[in-house]
Amino acid sequence: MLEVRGLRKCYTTGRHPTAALDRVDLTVEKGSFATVLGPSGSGKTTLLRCIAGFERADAGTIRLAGRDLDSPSISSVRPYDRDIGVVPQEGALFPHLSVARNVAFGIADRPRARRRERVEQLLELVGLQGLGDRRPHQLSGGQQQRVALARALAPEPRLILLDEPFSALDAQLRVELREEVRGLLRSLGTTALLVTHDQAEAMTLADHLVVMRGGRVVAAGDPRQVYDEPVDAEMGRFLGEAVVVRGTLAGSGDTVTVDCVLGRLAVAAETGADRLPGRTDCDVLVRPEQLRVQRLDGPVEAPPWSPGRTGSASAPAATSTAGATASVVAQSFYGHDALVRVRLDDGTQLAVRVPGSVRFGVGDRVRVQVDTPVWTYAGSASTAT
Amino acid sequence: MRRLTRPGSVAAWLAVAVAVASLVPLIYLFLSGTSLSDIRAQFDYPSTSAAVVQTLVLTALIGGVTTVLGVGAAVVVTRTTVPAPRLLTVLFTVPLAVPGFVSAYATYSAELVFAPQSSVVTSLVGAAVVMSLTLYPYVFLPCLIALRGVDPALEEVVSGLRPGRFSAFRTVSLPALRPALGAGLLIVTLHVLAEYGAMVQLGRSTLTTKIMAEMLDYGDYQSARSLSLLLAGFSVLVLMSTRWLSGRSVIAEVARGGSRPPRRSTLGSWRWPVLLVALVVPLLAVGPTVLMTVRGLLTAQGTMTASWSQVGAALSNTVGYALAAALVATLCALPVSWWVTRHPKPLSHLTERAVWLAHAIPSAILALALVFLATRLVPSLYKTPAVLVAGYVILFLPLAVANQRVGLQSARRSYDEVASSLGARPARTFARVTLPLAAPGLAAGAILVALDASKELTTTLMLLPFNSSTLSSKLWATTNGESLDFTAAAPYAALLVLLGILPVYLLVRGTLAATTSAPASVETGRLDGGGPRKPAGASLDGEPRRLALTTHQ
Ligand SMILES: Nc1ncnc2c1ncn2[C@@H]1O[C@H](COP(=O)(O)OP(=O)(O)O)[C@@H](O)[C@H]1O
Ligand SMILES: [Mg+2]
Repeated sequence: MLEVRGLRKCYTTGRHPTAALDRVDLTVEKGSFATVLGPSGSGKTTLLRCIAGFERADAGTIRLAGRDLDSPSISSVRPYDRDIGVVPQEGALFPHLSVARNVAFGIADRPRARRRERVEQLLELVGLQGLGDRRPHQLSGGQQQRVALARALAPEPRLILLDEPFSALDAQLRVELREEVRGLLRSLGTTALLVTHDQAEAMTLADHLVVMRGGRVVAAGDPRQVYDEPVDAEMGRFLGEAVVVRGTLAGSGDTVTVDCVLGRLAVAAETGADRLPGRTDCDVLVRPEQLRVQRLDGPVEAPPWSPGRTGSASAPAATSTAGATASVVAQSFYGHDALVRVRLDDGTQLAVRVPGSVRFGVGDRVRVQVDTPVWTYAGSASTAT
Repeated sequence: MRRLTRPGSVAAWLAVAVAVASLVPLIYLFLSGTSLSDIRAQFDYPSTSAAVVQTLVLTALIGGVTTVLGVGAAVVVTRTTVPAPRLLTVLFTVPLAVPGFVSAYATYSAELVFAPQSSVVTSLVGAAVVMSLTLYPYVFLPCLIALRGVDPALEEVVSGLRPGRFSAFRTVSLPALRPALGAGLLIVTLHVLAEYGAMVQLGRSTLTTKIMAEMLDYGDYQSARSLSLLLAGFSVLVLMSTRWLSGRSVIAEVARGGSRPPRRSTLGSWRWPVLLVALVVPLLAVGPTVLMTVRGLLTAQGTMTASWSQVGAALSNTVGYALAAALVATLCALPVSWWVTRHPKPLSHLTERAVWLAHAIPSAILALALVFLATRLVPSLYKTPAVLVAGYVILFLPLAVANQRVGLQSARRSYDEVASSLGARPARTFARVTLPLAAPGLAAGAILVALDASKELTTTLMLLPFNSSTLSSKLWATTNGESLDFTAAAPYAALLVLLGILPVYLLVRGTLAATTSAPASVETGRLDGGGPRKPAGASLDGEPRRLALTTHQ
């Protein structure tokens, strides 16, 4: 198990010290796959470098499997004594060594025959059997990353750190390789910590998700929970498609509601509970999957090229008067589902997730409704987009 | 809370020690009791001002001509479809094999023999051109490496962003060229400031020839020291201005190691004329030497036989001293170059600059200082090979440092880090990762030291052990003969040139290999290699530009 407590690291560039890490806490259970998600510059690489021992933290402790690697009371354990494997962003394969020798680098102390056996085994594991004699520059980007992974796994480290290992690859390969890597690490039972700026990557891979911003951990936990219950509106938008609208809170206790351009909505949870008495304005976070959209009654101004199919499955006619009216601006298909972009009559733009079989034409008049409780935030810095 | 820092300081201590040791001659210069008024007094002689002016004019002229020749040659070889670019690269580098004073003497003799009335060679411009032709490879080679190293992908990105025929060259290649040009011009200029033999042959009176005359002809060491301080001042100026030229080019770091060969502009039917013009440069540079040497060897057939044993002794001495200097310089340079590449900070940069500063004082002063120190401190060492080798090492240490830096930079720090995460202790990391990757740079440094030591004249003349001789000292002795037609010099010149050919060949081969089959494509993520930790020396100012060139889909 990896435990990081109160980690702090400052860089001084020019005059101003910038805190790359600011009291970072992190726990990764043995055998689990944790991801750290954060925008570029949020301190992810610095965090990994401190854990790997390449960089000495200014304060805080790092503890792996019950052993202090870095703490105020000891002198920092050297990288080569940490038992931590690293897969850097660009692979950093040793260019002068063959693939096999790269993989064998960390197990040089084993007998020759065992070493060769282990290298074969690892190359097969990452799907590169037979390529042991190649030089790194004769491999594709994806293959290089596989070798880097095999090399890091060879000495059977307690923990493996991956710094945006897929970001240099094209989209298709990225998705394939990350599934593969996770399957592999899970089957080996390796504890892994991966950092990335790609929210889809972070969400799909993680057993445990940590979100960083400006050197701080702003959320941590089960990825589903972190996504469903964002700690603030900005994070809600960072974690997935969402829109933030202004609202006014009403009621109290169990029956809090919020009035906004989408009508009167039920409130799931209200953060910033310490709102001032009488202060009722707030931000309302609405995700595409919380919205329902119905075609309005009346003549449909469907353009000739629109499929114009009607029926219960495609675009149910509006039956209630709750919600708000809007016009369809665009629709993008993702196969299994689709995002419909609508503009409310007050100008607010929203995205609504609908099944892929539902079609709208541009300009269709629709009614938009929220059908699950929403999260509201006291902060009023962010404005509707 | 304060935390312990890593004790990676052994290298640091060694580096500082090396820097201090190489500064000893300069320190001697200052401690030997020379005052500002002594320097001012030198200007009472009109010849001093004339020498200063002459030095400055020659430096500027030669700097300009070598830039044109060196950059032009590098562009032709790397960026055009000129025929036989590899052969041309070799030919452009060949002048390095000919010591400046040999080339000057041969050119002067050739003029005496074939066009006695013209006296072009000994005119100011003529002398500048002759010197430039021997020195431009110092600009050519770094520019060649820089231009080959620029990733064509980067150029393509730029030409896509900013259409225009030369914008890619201007925004990508030129910034990459700047540090190379800076390094090359630094070497050229320091050579000009310190040159003695060639200047004498070309009839130029510079600060260095004045200093040597004061010492050798008049025995006036006080004047020599005063003039030396003045010269050292010029050298410091040069150091500072080339540092400005090198700039902090992040693109150069980022652009290192293209995986594809660079794009060349098509010359079409101009290929052959361009080749011919290009060939004129090395021909002019080494032609006179080759011509006069061959001529001398042929005419001297009958008279020379007796001295072949002398020639052999001079040859073996030269090789021995040069190899010793290369070995010692490589070992001394290692801590300096390692420290400055792995821990770029003010103190390590200062150490590196100190090494250059020692190089920047003319070799005459260095030799004088070593004589002085040896006679005072360890008289038994005076006029032994040890002092001569020490002189060579101090003089040529920067060549080793500069080339080792290039090598160590290609052995990027992230490799060290990965190695240590794989359980390798520093010694193993160094032996298995850093050293193999840096080896071409280390070898290039050693070769250049050996080459320059075998050609060095001034230091050799002053520190040569009793009853010993080298090729250059023997050759120089012939310039005092009554016949200046190069006949007596020919055997030594032939050997010096032959000796120089091998290192030049190795150097070119190493340069070509290092820049074509570089471990380049590994660095596919080089445009955003995980935050600001670029190879040593990159600065954070480059961050926005780097990000702008990155595509995160
Ligand atoms: N070696 C360094 N020197 C100075 N500043 C640094 C250094 N490394 C990182 N930083 C700064 O620390 C912050 C976090 O950087 P980093 O950990 O690389 O972020 P990420 O990996 O999330 O993109 C950034 O503001 C960056 O500029
Ligand atoms: Mg990073």
